[in-house]
Amino acid sequence: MSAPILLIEDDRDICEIVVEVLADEGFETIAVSNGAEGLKQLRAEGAARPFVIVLDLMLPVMDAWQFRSVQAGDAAIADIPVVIFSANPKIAQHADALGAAALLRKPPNLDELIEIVGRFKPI
Amino acid sequence: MSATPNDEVAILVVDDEPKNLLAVEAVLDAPGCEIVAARSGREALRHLLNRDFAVIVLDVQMPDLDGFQTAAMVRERDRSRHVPIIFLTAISKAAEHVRQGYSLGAVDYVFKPFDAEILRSKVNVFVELYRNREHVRRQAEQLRILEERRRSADLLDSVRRQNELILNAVGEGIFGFDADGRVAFVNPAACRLSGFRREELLGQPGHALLHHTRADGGHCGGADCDLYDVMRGRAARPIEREVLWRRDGSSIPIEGLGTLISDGSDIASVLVFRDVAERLQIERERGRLVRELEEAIVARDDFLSIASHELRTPLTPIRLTVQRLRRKGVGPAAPMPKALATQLETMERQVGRLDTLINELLDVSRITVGRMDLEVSEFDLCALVREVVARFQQELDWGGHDVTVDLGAPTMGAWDRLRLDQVVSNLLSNAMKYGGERKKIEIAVADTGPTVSVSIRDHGLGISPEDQERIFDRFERLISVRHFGGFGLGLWIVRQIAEAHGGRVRVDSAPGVGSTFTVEIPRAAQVGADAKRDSAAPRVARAPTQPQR
Repeated sequence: MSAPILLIEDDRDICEIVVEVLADEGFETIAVSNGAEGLKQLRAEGAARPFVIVLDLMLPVMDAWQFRSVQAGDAAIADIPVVIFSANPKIAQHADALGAAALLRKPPNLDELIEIVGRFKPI
Repeated sequence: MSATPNDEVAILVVDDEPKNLLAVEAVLDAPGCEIVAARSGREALRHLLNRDFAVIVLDVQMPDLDGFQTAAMVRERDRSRHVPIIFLTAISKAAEHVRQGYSLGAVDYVFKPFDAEILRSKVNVFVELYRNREHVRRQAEQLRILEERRRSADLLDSVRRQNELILNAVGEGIFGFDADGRVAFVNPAACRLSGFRREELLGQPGHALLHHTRADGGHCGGADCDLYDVMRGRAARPIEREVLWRRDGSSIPIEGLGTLISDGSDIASVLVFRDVAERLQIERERGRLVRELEEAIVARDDFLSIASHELRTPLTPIRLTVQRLRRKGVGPAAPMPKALATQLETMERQVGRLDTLINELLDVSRITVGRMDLEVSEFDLCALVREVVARFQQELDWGGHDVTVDLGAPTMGAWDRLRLDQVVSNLLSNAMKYGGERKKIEIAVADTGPTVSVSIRDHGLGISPEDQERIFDRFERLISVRHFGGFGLGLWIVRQIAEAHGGRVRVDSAPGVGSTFTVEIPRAAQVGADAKRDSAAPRVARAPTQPQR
């Protein structure tokens, strides 16, 4: 099975449509609702390693900043690129500060979503 | 001009015979009389140069210069012109001499050998006359001096009264201190400000009475105290942020100036001061208002930031869903009814419009606090224009607009891509709104080397000169008949973006002819020091906000 995309997003409707859109393009997307679940998913026994993490900024339990700091400290998952996905007006500064590989402003266009995620697709 | 010292009256006696001289002196000698003897006419004239005489007793018969010749010379001189002359002459020559003597201004004769009493009484007449005249002259002199004194006293009085009026009228408190630091002068304002009466202040040690305690509540012994230095006449000092203690135990904040007086008067230093409580209160109030205003702006910006986040989040599933449905519908596998396709298109366009409006709301707070951060990257301006036009194509077609795009070779430069996208979009959108019946729009990019420009021209109603001045202001829109909605921020944002790049926007327009909006910017955005450049930042991919078609 090909490597999946990990979507960490607490809005259920957004999760649903993003998963569907990416499925249309042939991507498998695992959606979780906060950073802690994202970590659990990444560290689960036998779980496939995602090629990209699409990360909302504001999340319950563990937000993007906490998630990124744990991720950076875990060599096994530190190098998985992260795309910040947010409606925050200061998304560019936050993405910079979080060392993200890319950013995606909400609401994105379908083509943008596919293009940005597609950049990280393993050949 | 004064006569002989100590009211002595001088008598000049002139005779070539020493024994005659002695005889005359013996007769005339009296208290208060000084007899000056001269042995010749010349000697007499020398005496007359130096002092005044009450009378001259002059022998007529003298060798060399005789009495008449001497008298003639005496009369020639201003100083001695009016000094009475008594001639001494031999009785034998009386008739001849008297005639000649009178013609020379002699006033009397004594004949030799003279009678002591006659000589004495004749001389005394003149001595008394002289004395009386001197007395009158002196009295006149004294009167004059007294009058002068009175006049200068009057003058002094009026100057003093004037000064007092001035010192009373000024709003500043004025204290004068003597060499011991005691209050030697006080004006009414100083009384009013300090709460003391004048009598309670005069003679009191100024510092102990008025500044015994520092502003912070600590006792003030005078060390490192500007007020002490002034009140003790030690140094001139500007007085800032000091307090003055009032009679009732309260204090007032004061400002002023302390100066030293070194003219030898009984005032050694002066303190001029004013109560700054009101001003400090106004400053505090102003500070409070500014803080409140700043807080209100922060609150507004926070609100706009949260509002935009909250509004965009639900737009996310709507846009993605609509776009997904449209994409599925165009495929040959599941053709969509045309009506539904049109409705989806409308929905997508309206989502885009909402997204733009939310961005504009945010721009209000971003730009009004003076921070439009540019995210500069290298790109081709012509490609950007093509992209925007492509994005508007459907709307242009639908509105029946005929767009001509005049682009030359790729025009590379360093600018904020999203912001210039906004500029072209806003101007194109305006051209569509205000293009009027002749729906022809021309877009051109011109490259002049150091600067590049984008111009968008319509052939609509045009803008009157007076409107041209205000269309770039915030919340301005053209006349109400052209009610096209929006916040009225489009051109204002265009101007802000142009200026943030170090460029400008201008409009050439005439009513009935159309308008041309031109944005001219330097090839590399001249951003402020606080704007950040992408190249220096960690890698952040710039996602285009809209798909390329």
